[in-house]
Amino acid sequence: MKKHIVLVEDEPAIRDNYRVALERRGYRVSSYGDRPSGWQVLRQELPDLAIIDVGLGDEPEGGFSLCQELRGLSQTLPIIFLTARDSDIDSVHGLRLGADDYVTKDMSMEHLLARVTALLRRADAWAEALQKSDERLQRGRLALNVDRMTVDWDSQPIDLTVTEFWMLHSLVQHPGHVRSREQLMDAANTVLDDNTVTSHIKRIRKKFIQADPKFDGIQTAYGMGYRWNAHEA
Amino acid sequence: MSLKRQLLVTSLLMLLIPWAGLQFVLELDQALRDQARDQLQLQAGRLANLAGDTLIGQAPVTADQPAIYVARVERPLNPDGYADDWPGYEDDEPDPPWQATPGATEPSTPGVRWQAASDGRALYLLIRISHRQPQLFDPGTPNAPHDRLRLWLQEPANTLDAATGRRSWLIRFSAPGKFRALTGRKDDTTDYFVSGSWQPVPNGWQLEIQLPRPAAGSELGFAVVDSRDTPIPGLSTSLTPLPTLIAHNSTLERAIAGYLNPGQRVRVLEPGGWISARQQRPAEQSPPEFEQLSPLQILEQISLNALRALIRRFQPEPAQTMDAPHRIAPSHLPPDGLTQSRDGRLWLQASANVFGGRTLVLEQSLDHLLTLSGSALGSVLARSLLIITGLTLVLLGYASWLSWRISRLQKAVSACVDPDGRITGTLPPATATDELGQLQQQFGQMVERLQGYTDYLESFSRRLSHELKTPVAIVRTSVDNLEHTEPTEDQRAYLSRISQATGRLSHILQSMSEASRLEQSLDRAEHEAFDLAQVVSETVQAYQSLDTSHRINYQGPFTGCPMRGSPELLVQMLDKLVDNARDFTPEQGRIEVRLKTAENRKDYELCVFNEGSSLPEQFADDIFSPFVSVRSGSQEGHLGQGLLIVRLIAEHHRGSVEAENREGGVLFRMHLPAQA
Repeated sequence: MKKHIVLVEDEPAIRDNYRVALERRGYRVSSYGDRPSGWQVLRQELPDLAIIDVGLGDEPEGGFSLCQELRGLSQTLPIIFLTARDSDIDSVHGLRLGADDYVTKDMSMEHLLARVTALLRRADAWAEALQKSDERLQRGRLALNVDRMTVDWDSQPIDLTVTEFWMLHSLVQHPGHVRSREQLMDAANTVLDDNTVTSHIKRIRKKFIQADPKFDGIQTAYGMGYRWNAHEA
Repeated sequence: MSLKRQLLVTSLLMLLIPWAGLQFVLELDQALRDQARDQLQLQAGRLANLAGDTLIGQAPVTADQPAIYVARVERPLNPDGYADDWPGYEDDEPDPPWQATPGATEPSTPGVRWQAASDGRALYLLIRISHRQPQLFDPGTPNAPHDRLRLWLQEPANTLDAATGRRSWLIRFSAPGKFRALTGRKDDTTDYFVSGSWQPVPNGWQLEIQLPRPAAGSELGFAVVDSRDTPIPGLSTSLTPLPTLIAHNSTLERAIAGYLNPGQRVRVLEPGGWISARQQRPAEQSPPEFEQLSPLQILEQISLNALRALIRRFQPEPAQTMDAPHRIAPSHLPPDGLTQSRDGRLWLQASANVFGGRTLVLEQSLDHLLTLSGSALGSVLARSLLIITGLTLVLLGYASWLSWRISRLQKAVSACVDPDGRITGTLPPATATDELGQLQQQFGQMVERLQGYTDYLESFSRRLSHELKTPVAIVRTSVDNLEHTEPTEDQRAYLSRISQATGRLSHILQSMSEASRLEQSLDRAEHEAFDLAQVVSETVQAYQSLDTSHRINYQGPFTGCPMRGSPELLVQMLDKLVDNARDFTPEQGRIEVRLKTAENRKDYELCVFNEGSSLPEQFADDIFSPFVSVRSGSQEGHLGQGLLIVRLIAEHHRGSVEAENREGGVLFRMHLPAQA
């Protein structure tokens, strides 16, 4: 059965190009030009994935509110923001609202398709994981549940966003190995500039330090990236 | 000429106002003085006539006529042989009060000096004989040689006693102390009206004689004689004729007194220079009581005094008046006009001839010249001076205030723009409503509009990249789709060119927004304490391991450079610098990163040197601006945003960055304050 993707984009040319490309990959695509018409259909039946532009026609923040409304319907629906706006504030805002990915429009279509595939695979894995036992990762006092995306430090739960979770996951997989910013971005399936990666890492550290003031799990390798402290392995 | 200097010159020109005022006052002073002199001259003439009338019948005393000047004393003197109660004793002035025979002044020869005084009833004589001790009279041996003083008095012919003719007295000395005079006749009877004392003084002896006041115009003479009645040479007044007694003519003085104005004094000189009358009337104006003056009046007095002092400076040099108490030679009299007495007071002098060859000298005190013709003029002048001074000060102050405001506006305007031409601040709102205030307002509006325009320009690249992204995306997705529609070989080539070009376009768009995104994130950057040496050394190690096609070295400490800031941003800055260096360094070229504490000990100096092509000199500063790439060998899409980011991060840490050519390469040098 074909996966159903909803595309909400106010620029007809892009909408059509993406629709054709996605359909060629074998997806079933419904595309809408503005928020009300998209919402009309989405609230009837949830697709497998939604790609939403931030600025929709007259509503410059229409995509953000549509994302919020969708999250109200489903916590697990994969949502990708596709936008011409590339400021940090916008991307952080979008990810906070619960989007799974935030891509800018100048990204190549191959790249977008790869992300769509990855997200759908993750959604499948999520669904499967509900049936079988969870994938867990234990590094010293840190416990990661990859399927449920939960993190515990010293048996205390730490509340991370999706991006932060995947960045941490990438660091923790091989303790002591330096992960560059590009690797961290890939792991989180997002495109951010260097500063945003830095601020993400800072936020992760802060959350751990709130739970344990002596936390020293994430180390900076200046000029290269970050690594998980081998002593915490 | 700067505005400040122009205002100064204008203010200085205002000093012409008081100068003109002074000229006016000086001319006024000159006119007043001329007028006063003329009036004084007239008054002197009238007084001279009056004096002439009063002195009719009294023979004038000429210069070659011997005379004894009789000073006036207010109370009787004690004839005890001591001079301590005589006028002039306290002043310690030996010369004017003492009279002597002309030519008998050689020291060490016997000499005689004398003074005469009268209180209106008695005549007192003080006679001092120097360089000779008296030969005393011994009553036991009356014929033994001894010194005597003989006194002659010739009363004028028109007195009632004229029949008595010339009278004489004889004084003998037995011992210091009192004596009685003997009548000069043969019987040697004691005359109880003439008495006195004698006392030895250093170098000689002195006697004081009291006798009834002789009539005006009498002649009096004396001589020290030996026992045979022969005058001892040098110890006598002239004897033929006897010296005339010159006393103050109180009748004349009384007559003149009524005609004197306040502040005037008059002297009548005999032809021989003897002062036979002297009268003065003090100025009526007494100095005002300080306590009773209002502040304005005090100011008025101060300015009046200042005016007087000023006038005195510009008045012609006054002649010295002769203040001798007894005798002023008429030839020594200063010419008529401005004179100054020994105590510094200024006088206006006029003289007139009196019948009989006498001279009348009338003097007017000039201390109150400006009040001469009424105090109103003085206070008008004083007030004008006050007003002029005040006005000048106000104008000067106003000029300085204007100048201060203009220079403040100038500073505020120049503070709004940094050396790069960016608008960095706004002008404070103008509080004044005058033209300068309006100018400040206009400048404020201009700066505001420029700020808006600068903001627009600065955000232009961000907006442009944002606006271009959608059309680029359309082209890109269309090309992607086209590639799946079985294109011909030719079409495939074109398609690949289109997709290369769009790739470049989107790379440009990314780098365009990179700097503005960095500026936004700088505002949110968190500062922490860290060790710069550690960060730089580790970062360079990372470069070494990542890039093996260049020789990347680090020189400097590995620890011990504490500072505050954002290490991630500094690493990003170093990334850009090393990236830039790598772009222009040939294969296996040398890139050197150096860190040291600067000479002022407050900064760290971070240098990145690379071998390779050098910078064109004229672009040394421009390379830190957006979209400037001046070195050859630039890679595709290299728009110079990297160095803009370097500058932004350095300035964010309150540091600076500069680039210069070195032998065989280029050096970028950064200064980073230790306490950012």
